[in-house]
Amino acid sequence: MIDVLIGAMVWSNLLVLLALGLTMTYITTGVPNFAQASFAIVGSYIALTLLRLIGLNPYLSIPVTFILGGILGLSTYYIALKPLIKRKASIEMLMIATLAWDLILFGIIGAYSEVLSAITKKTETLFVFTSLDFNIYGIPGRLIVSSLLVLLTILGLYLLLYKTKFGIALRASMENPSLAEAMGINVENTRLFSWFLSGALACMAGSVLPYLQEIVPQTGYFIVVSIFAASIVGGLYHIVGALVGGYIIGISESLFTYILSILLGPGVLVYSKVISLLMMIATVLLHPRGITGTEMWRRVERWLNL
Amino acid sequence: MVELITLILFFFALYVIVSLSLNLEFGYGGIPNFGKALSVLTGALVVGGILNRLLIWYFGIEGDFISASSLAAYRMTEIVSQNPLIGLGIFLFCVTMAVVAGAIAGALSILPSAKLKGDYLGVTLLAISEVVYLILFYNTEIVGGYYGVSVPDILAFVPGEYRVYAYTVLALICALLVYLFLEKLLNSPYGRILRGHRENEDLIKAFGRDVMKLRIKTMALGSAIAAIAGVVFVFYSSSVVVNAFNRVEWTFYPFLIVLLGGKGNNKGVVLGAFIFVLLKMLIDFYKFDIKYLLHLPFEAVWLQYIVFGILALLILCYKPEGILKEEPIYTPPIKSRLKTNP
Amino acid sequence: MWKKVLGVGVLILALLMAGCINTGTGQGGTTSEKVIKVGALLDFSGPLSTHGIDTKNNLELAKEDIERYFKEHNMPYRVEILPEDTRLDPNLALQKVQLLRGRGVNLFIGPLSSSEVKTVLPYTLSNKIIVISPSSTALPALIGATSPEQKKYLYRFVASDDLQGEAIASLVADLGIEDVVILYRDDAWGKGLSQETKKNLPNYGVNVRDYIAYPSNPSPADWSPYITKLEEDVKEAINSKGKDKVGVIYIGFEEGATLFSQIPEDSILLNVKWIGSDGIVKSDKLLELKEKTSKVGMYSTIFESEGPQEYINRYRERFGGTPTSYGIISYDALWVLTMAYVETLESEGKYDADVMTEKIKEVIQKYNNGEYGVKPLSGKIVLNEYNDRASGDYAIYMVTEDGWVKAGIWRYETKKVEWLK
Repeated sequence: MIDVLIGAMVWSNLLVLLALGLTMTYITTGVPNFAQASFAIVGSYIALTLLRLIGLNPYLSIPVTFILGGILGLSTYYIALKPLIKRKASIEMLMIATLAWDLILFGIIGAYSEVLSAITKKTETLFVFTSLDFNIYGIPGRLIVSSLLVLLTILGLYLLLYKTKFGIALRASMENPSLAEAMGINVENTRLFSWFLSGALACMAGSVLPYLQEIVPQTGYFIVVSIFAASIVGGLYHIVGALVGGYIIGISESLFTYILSILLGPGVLVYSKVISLLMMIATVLLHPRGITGTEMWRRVERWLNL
Repeated sequence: MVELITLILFFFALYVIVSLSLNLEFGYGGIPNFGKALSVLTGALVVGGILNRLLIWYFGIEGDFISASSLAAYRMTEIVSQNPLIGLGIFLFCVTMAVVAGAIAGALSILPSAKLKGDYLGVTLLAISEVVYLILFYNTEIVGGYYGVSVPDILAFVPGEYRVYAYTVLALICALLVYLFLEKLLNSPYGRILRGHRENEDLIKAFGRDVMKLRIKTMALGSAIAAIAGVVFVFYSSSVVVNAFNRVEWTFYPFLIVLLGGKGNNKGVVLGAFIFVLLKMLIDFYKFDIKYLLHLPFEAVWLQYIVFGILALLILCYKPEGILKEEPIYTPPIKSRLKTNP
Repeated sequence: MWKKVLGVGVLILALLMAGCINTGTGQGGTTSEKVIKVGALLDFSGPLSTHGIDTKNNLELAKEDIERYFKEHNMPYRVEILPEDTRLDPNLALQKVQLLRGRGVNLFIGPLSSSEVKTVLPYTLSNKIIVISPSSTALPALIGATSPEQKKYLYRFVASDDLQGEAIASLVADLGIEDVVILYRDDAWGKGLSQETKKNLPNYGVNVRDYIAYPSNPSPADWSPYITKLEEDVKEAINSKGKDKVGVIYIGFEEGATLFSQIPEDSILLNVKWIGSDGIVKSDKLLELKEKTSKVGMYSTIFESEGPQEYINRYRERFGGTPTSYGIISYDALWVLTMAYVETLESEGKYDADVMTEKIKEVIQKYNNGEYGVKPLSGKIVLNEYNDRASGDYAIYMVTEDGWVKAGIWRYETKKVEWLK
């Protein structure tokens, strides 16, 4: 049981990081980014490259993946989205553009995995880092590191958004872009910032992901569903939503499925993704703006004095 | 070369059907149906789940569903090879059932729109479609899941090497009928209300129309049409395997086609489908030569994804409104007025 | 509008024309050389990508050997392999077959999964192409073949599940295990093999305590629910039978490495024997975790193949790692395909599927006898009336500190395990 809990926590932490990026770019640019999961796989491959070529432990490569991920996020915005936004493309068009971008990333990842295999003389698809993981008093490193990453990210975001002038401008332009623009705030900066962070967080999560599961070029296609579920359950209009949603979806995918399997037999276990999807549908139907959009949440927020 | 052209035409026809149905829902009605794959799957479900069970029952075959389907499909194929009319009869029967089943599935899946709209509605439809897909994939009892089930070859009377052409003709006829039907349907007051719904729901309400009813009607129609594509595809491949109905092929690509061709313009969508399938197949076909030409250090398959993605982005970028723009709706009264004072 | 349509039409025509010229000249370097084109329908990006890449590597080695043979015998042929990524999607597999056929390809290796084979099967019959799958093992009825006639152009150089199911059951009994838990990959391959195993186990006096599926599409990120479930079952079994009489049968692919990496060091699961299958035999990924896997043995059955050491060395030097069983089978498949194709051309002057099926029979005999200078890497090839691998022995491999070691053989004739000393 404790293993299930640990596994669920690691997965939730990573989902939070991935969903944060998705929610943020949705708030600033108004487009659900279908390439979000592929960002993570790019991160995994960066970490793998550093591991194979210079023997760097993937945990230590996090700063590198963070920066390269940020650049990836920015280039997504500059190459795939900005030209379209300039031409006043509809939101569906932007969505499809992120899909095309996802396809490009998928092709690049695949081609790169082959180039890397030729160098390392190993098949560089379907890899895991789990055997490299450390262990403190029975707690696996992936839990410690992923929790630390989430904590640092939240702390960093809190300080930035609530304690700096840039943060205030940022929040203003996230909440009401046109008003913010009228006040002389550069909305474009907000977008750049959100795309940088979105890519950076996703790639960072990607370098931890192989500690938990095997990576193949297609992994992004499989996990993107969970990321969307997390962002939507939490509420797409609020950054904190990603945090809440990530934990709910992450925990329900393994822990809730496991509990159901005790009640209904092991056949339920294969339907773990179905369960998170059903949770997402239920949330949206009961409260479209997600958990952070509820009146309850407002009160919690006021109580927290945010 | 003939094979390539046939393949292009066949998938062109299939994507015309699916994309036109999406254009009805999304292009005209403004419903972002990101669960399009579900309606195509419904068509497959009808053939694999209902027709096969009927055949098994008719032939009195014992044993597990998947093996029994193989046998039933085989026996039926034998019969059809002697008797073309039975084959076509089965096809029409399945299309009718698929239309009914598709309409029901579409009508049910749009119910959440009572509370949702825009991207939220889209993502919810996507999730519903994905849930059905996953359940059908892992449960091998319904339509064989990941094993899949065989279905009879309804054109078994055509000699082997010509059968692909026959299916292509069949698909093209279906696509043409769907196109003519939708052109007629949408150049009518219904089409106009639908566009009104896309632009401003409240306006439609103010005119005393039931918005929910309109949406249910539209989705039922759209899904019913897309289900036909599922039926054609399943007979063509002689099997129903659930993984063939994933979200990329049957939801995202149709969206790309509609946006490429021009939202709300059926002609544009047909053109978009043609360009899309042509590009995709040509890249697929010539990728080995490109790889050879450029001396790439990796397999050509990756090149195919990259090139296709870049082309899609370029087209979106240079034609954000689609290849053909939306045209006004010509209902008979408007047409007659245009005639009298041009 | 019509101007645009016209423009697009002209463009398309131009492209197609260019294509015709291109394929026309692309027929191969010198005019006297004939190119034998073989399509390879593999998975490069999904859950079977390691098998897909491995198959491609083995095909490359086979291509070299075959071309050397052609050169030595002054035969004017060349082999061209066209690998495709089907992503295990039957729809894509069929599309790729048709596209490749448009390029004049009539010979195929693959597809890897049984559901793809099922979709491709009717097409092989109506369009007369020869397909050899190196890894689809579902029983013929499950892939839609109810009579040998339907499968006459589709070969599978791997034995179907019933044979290996029995070998595994027999192996489990021979290890002294009385109570097992089966964990299987929920797809056509995993379910087929695990059901055959489950069916055979009671005949060998083994009780199946639990039968657990895990998803295949995608396989789980977090294995802890499965680990916990297995631990509970194993604990109960140990309490009633003692730990020597309890085992876990794992029917899956290399995701097993992820599973093992998540099993805690002190888990009860590492105290019992594990039994695998050809899905993981000689897997490098599982070997990386040998401090855990060697504890449980991972006794895995694989279609008996001598797998000459020099070939394995050659593979390692070139690509790193070891060839998997399916890869070795595809090496043999390419030999049989190309040789039978050449014989067909020599006797008929052109490709003819029906002649070729006859030639394949002859070529298999010659190949078995080593007439081409090599012998089948996967052992003697004998096919049944369904063109599937008919009978044969299974080698049993286990993980030790020194890597994968051959520990015994399951004999088809005696249905017993012979352990090597």
